[in-house]
Amino acid sequence: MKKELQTGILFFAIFSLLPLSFFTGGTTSPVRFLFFPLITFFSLYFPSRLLHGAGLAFTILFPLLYVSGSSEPRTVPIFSVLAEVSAFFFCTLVAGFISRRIHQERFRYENAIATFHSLSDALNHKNMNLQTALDALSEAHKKLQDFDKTKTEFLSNVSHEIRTPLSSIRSYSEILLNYDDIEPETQREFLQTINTESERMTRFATEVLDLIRIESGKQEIAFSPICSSDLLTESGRIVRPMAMEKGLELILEETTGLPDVRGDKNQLIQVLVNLLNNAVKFTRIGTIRLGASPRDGFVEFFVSDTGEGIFPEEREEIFQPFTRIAEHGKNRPKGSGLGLSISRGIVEFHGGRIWVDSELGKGSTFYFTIPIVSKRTEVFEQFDMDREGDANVTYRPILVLSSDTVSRRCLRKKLEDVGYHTLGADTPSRAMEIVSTMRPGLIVTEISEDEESFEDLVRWARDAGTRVLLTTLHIHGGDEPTLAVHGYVSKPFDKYEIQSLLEKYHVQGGSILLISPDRDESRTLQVILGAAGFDAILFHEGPPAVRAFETSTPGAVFVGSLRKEQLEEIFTAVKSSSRTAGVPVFQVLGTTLNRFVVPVTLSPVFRKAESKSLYRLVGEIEKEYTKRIE
Amino acid sequence: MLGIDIFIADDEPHIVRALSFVFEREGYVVETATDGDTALRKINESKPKIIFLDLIMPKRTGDEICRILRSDDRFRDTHIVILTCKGQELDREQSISSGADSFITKPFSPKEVLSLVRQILGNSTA
Repeated sequence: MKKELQTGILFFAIFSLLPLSFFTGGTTSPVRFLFFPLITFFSLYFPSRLLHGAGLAFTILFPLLYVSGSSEPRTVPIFSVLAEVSAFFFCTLVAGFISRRIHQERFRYENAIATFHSLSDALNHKNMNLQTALDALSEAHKKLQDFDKTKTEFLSNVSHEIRTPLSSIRSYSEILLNYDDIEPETQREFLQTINTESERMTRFATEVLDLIRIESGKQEIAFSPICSSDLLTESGRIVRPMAMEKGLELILEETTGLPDVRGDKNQLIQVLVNLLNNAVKFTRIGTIRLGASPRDGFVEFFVSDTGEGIFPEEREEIFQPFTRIAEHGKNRPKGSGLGLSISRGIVEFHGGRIWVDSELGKGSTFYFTIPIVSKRTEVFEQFDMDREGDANVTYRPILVLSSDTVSRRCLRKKLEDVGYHTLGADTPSRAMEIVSTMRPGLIVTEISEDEESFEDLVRWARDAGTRVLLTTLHIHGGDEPTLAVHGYVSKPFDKYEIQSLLEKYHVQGGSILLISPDRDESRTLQVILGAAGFDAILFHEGPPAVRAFETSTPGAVFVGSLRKEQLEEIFTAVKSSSRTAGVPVFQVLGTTLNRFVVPVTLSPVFRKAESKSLYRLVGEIEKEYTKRIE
Repeated sequence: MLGIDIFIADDEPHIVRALSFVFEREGYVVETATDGDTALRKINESKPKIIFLDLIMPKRTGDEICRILRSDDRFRDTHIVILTCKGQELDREQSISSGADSFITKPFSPKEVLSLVRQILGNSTA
């Protein structure tokens, strides 16, 4: 603003000084000596050629003005006028030259500044990348250190657990060998100790091997449908004598009507027996209850006791190997501290979760969940049996990528509820940062507007052998998010693929709404749909298309890369009326998908459950999660 | 409670039994405990000549008891043996810094333990 004002003043000064000099005596006027600096300044502020030209034009105009005024003869000789004009012309040239040089220098300076800024930005960016890489490295380093520490601790614990019974065995056998005069009763007692201690060692060796097998994922699990009540009765039968010996009551709750679970019978009995053994061990008087109930696709088993209870800070810790609850009483059978770790390993391998509720002095209840058998999982098992187990995939977290906070949180909670660890990301670039350090076992994602980063993520998944579940969620009203689309159409468009998709969803006729801001995309699709005998109506944005729903029922809807709000509006418009609720919606993708991307869409037959919850999505996630990459 | 020769503290009853069996056969008077607190109380009452302490025990570790005893004038010259399961260098250092005279790594030979006891008690009585 200030600069413009200055320019205005200069402009005014020059153009008023020129005629002024003319009228105040022309060549003899001292005012003209002001032209030189004034024009220089003028040129500085008006660098454009146009204004240089204006300066020159005025130079020519000046003698014209002089000549035109010469109707009244003047005494000034022509020579003087020429000198005046050439002096003025020279001044303009010199001023222009100087100002141009100044401009060039200024331009260079500004360029240098810009280069400096861009370099410094690049440096900052590099620095940030370095920092991220450093963070990732230190994270990896810490993990390795932790792993090393865990390994050392594990070995030292194993060594302790082996040396203790071994000490007894060695001592007693040496005593028996060295002293001939020990009374037969004492001899028997010592032999008995050697026997029980060697049994303890054997049991421990088996448990350590079990744990290692579970943790390395090399265990052989024969997944098959198992009757839940059989599990309860059989494990109850195994533990009952021990409970009775201690004077405890073992109550088996009503077991009829429980659904079958999917798993390995022996291992699940091992878990129940282990929990029951602990219950007996830590209960002096009272009752031990054993039972199960169906819950959200799982059977939830429980073992409750009226024992001492577990301190809150110990409730998570007890599932770690070699953690034993401080044993207060004497002569209590000592465990290896591995039982609960093994149980947790088994339960998690089955896709379930184990936890404990406890009240000090009143008792504890251990719960664990095992997935219910369904036709779908059985088919999947058939398919999966021949493949080699890889527990690393199984224990890795699931990454949920969605720009919508509510959908993301809701889906994560659903997954956490059934026992998975999850990570969340709102953008593909954020997801890329996460995958570089955390290596998720599966990625569940919505399409993102940031297509470039999204493609990076898909590429990463392909290289890492991680599957990507592609879905589109929609929140209708205050409900939880549901699946929103029936299928995806990706580039390059395939005529037959689109036709078979329409056939699959029984789109027989009528008009098809094509809502996409990308005109080329819409036209290509329009041509393909036209060739297949459909009449495609093009919309370039959401609102007019939404209005079209009010009056007509299209055969199908194709939505392109619209903004999230517009997509939501369209989904809401389709879902809110029973007339349009059954209309299949297909999403057109700007990206090309690879075979590691698995779309999860609504099924061709309208199912109420599907439209109301994430049940199907969670099911698909579970299915893909355990599936290995070929 | 006077006249106790050897005190054994270990949370593993079988070990206590084996050691006390060997020592008693040699005519030594033995007192035992299976946790740290009881051990400390009984040691204070009985003033034994040799104390065997398991390193890892409930309530109080052998290490801790050793430190407490060493700060007590009455036990300045009592021979303290630490029983350790790991035999790692770290345990050795800990035991020595806490003031133990010797340490025995499990699994041990009762014979060797006995000869150690004979040596110590022989020296102290001589």
